[in-house]
Amino acid sequence: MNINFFLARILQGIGVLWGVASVIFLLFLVMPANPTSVLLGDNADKETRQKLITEWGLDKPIYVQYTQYLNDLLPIAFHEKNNLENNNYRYITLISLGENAFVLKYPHFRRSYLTGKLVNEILWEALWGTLILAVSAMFLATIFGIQIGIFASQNQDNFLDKAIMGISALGIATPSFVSAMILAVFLGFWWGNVTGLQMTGSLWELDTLSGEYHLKLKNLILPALTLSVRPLAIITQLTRSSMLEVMQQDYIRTARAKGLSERKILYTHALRNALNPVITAISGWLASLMAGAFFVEYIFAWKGLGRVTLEASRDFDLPVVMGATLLMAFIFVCINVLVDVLYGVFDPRMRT
Amino acid sequence: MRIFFIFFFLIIVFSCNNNNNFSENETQTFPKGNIFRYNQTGGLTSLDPAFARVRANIWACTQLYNGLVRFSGKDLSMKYELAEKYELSKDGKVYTFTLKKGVFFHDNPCFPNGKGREMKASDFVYSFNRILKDGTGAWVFRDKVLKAKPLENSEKESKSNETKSQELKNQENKNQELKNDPKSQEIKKPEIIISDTAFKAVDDYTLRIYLEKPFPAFLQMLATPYTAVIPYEAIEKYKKDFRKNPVGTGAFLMRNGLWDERNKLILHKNPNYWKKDAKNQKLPYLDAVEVSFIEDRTVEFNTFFDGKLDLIANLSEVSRDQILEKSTGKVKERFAGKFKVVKNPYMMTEFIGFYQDTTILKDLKNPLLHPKVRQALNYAINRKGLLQALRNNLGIVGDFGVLPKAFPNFDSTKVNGYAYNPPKAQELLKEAGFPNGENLPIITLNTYQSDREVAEYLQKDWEQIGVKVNIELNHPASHSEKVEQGKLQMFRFSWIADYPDAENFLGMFYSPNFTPIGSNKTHFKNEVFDKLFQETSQMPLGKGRNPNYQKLNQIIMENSPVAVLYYDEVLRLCQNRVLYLEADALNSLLLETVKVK
Repeated sequence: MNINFFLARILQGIGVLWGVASVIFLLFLVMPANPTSVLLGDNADKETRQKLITEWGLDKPIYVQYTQYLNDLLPIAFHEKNNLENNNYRYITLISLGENAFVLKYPHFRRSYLTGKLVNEILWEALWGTLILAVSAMFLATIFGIQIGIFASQNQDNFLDKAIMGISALGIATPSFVSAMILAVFLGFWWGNVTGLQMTGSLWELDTLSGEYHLKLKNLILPALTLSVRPLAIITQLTRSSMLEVMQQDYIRTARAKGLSERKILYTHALRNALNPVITAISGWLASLMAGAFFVEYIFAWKGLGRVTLEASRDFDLPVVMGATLLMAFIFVCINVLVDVLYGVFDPRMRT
Repeated sequence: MRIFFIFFFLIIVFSCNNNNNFSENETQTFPKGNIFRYNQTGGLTSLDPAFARVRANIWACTQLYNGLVRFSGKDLSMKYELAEKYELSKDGKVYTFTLKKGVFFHDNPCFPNGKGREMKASDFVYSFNRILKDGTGAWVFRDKVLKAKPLENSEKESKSNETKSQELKNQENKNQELKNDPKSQEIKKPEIIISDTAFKAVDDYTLRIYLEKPFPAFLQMLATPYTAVIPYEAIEKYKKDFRKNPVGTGAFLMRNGLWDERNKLILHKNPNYWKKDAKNQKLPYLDAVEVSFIEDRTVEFNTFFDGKLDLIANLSEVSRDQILEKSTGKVKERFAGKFKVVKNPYMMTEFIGFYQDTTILKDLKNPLLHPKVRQALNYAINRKGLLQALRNNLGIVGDFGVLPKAFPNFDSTKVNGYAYNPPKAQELLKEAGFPNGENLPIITLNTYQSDREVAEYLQKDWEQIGVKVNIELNHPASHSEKVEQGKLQMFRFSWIADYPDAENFLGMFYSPNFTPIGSNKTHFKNEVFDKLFQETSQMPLGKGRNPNYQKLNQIIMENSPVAVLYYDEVLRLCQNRVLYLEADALNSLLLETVKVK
């Protein structure tokens, strides 16, 4: 494996992140709202406003704001110790220089304007919800999508195939917030007593009297199901067409001639080759599922990145929006670098 | 592949197991134990009383903290809370409070051994100084309490000030003594206590507040949630994370980590709460309060309907349509008796503002600067129709000036506002030189997304007298920003009372209160009004102010820098099992006396 290729991809990734950070910074500079109004509303007096502006560093020249912003994002950076302590930031001192120090830390996304909570905490709590939701949805979609796709390809052009294709076209066309509402009302409310599902709820639920957290896997079912509708439909169609193509190849005829069972031909010979385009699609979808979970999380009151970002942008809570966008960008970049590197491992032609 | 199936099968089995457990509980939707559950849309941002600006924070903080006094009952009269009594000096500038003894803070790790210590007057001094420096509530005290004076100047000033600084020095010495006294080691930071001259702990149970000039409504300021008492130990330990580690003296407390943000907040009964009911039984009756944070209104309503919430407030239009008859606003028959529907006037008024500042508006021919045009626009609004069409009659028709009907001890109906009268509107337009709206440019009404339907309704009303209006929808945050900067000529806004005195509403038209610093969004300026307002704010609180308030209100109506649309009403749905939950015009939520069946 060529180490230079690997390094180059990572450097590129960092470049992309830097670009994203700068663009967000610029966007928020030109935004038409006064960030202090987010917290203060109509009743603010001049002194309070001024105090907040100083606290958030908005009175400094733009280049200073930008440097401080990047400094906060870097894992190794130069900081005032006092500032770190006051904000309850976690860090390890590398070199101490009196009041200041070079420290090793997570990127600091500062504190939310609206709630005063550390953005790192907000994102960390929300990230897991989204990851679990996206992975479960993908899992559901892959398992059922491939099976249904194979089934449809076996029944090519008869009634069942057409019905499946029709339904999956509907699945692709339905926006996630519509399917979320339908599933929530049908399975969670009207038939809630039968299914035992609730319209809302998170993975971990607080028990009121004991004050303990309990794992509630059943709360995952509805949002994961909703989120999986679209990838399920797409995977079904991809698998079907890919299977139809593969089943006409010569080696399948050879396999049949050898007298293998149809089942064995399907699952060991055809499927392996037919899955290639499907897997590429899945890896791409995982990243966009995390982004696409916005409305699903909102409707099912599922604690995740999407809901956090949506609410923060509604409230003009800039540090949270910035942090969430950068985190999303980071995930996308990581997945891309990983996929590129893996391609490089498996396919020598890609290493140029 | 097979492994996947087994895994999936396991998941299904596992969740079915969960289902079974759930079905057993299903027969009883109500939780065991005395738990009160309410939903909070709009998001709770902090449990720190210094940030108690929005409804969500105010409701939660009311359960966690106490102040010196509070508003009570339908007429919002003042009631003592942590204060036992108070005295006001003859010049109206010094308040002396005697505090209750034996009030303890919540048990919390920030105290030695985790046991809450007794609340003292110095805690109020600390808390008051803190909100001047931190949070969103500084306006409560700013420009009202005595300003801090640099010590070197104090000698040159008048004699009364000298005695004051003498008092200050005594206090300093006293604090020095306290420091040396091993018994009072808990007061570690005397410099905070004397950093401002406005608040003073005379002894452990006597608190003195000095005002810059008499301000009769000051006691009402002390009933706002900002002024609750907190211990300095908690701030020292948690710093900015006090927001999720609240420590107060209130009826409920929050144990560590029981706020799963955006999901659930659990408040438990404070076993050492100081307050008792009339039968000398300890309050609160509830074991716990559970707050959920469902944002989607339809889901919220369905969850309530399912019996999984005890209270929801501020319904969406869809849910309102489901429960209330469209035109009469009465509860539909099929819901009668299923749950309680509480409708209550709210101290909130909905307005259209017309920007008046000629120093900022460049175009002086702007028709909205013409009082007759503004009056015509006022007459042309069918307010009753608006409430029927869009709000299921929820709200009170805005015919009587800027003060909502909810004000206690004030007959707002004596003020003549603008009743629906299109012929009169057309006549006024004609007098202003725009017969049937001819020669009038298209006017833009700026509003926020959630208000689109109201804006469209107004657009139709105005079109009937020939005034063409264009609607522009803004993001809420940028809307208020534009309003503050005077960029909008006609805009939607609303005002909620911070404290139940008309002054708080009428201050919106007092010229020293121009935005962006104050609340005068329309930059209305009228010398007669300013003088009368100034005079009235120095009068003692109570009915004596009412004639002036009526005059002030009438001046605004005649000049019409605003069009009043309607006065809001609070609509709350509450399960039948909830007892003694009171609703008031400030839309507050006090749970210490609530019981559940």
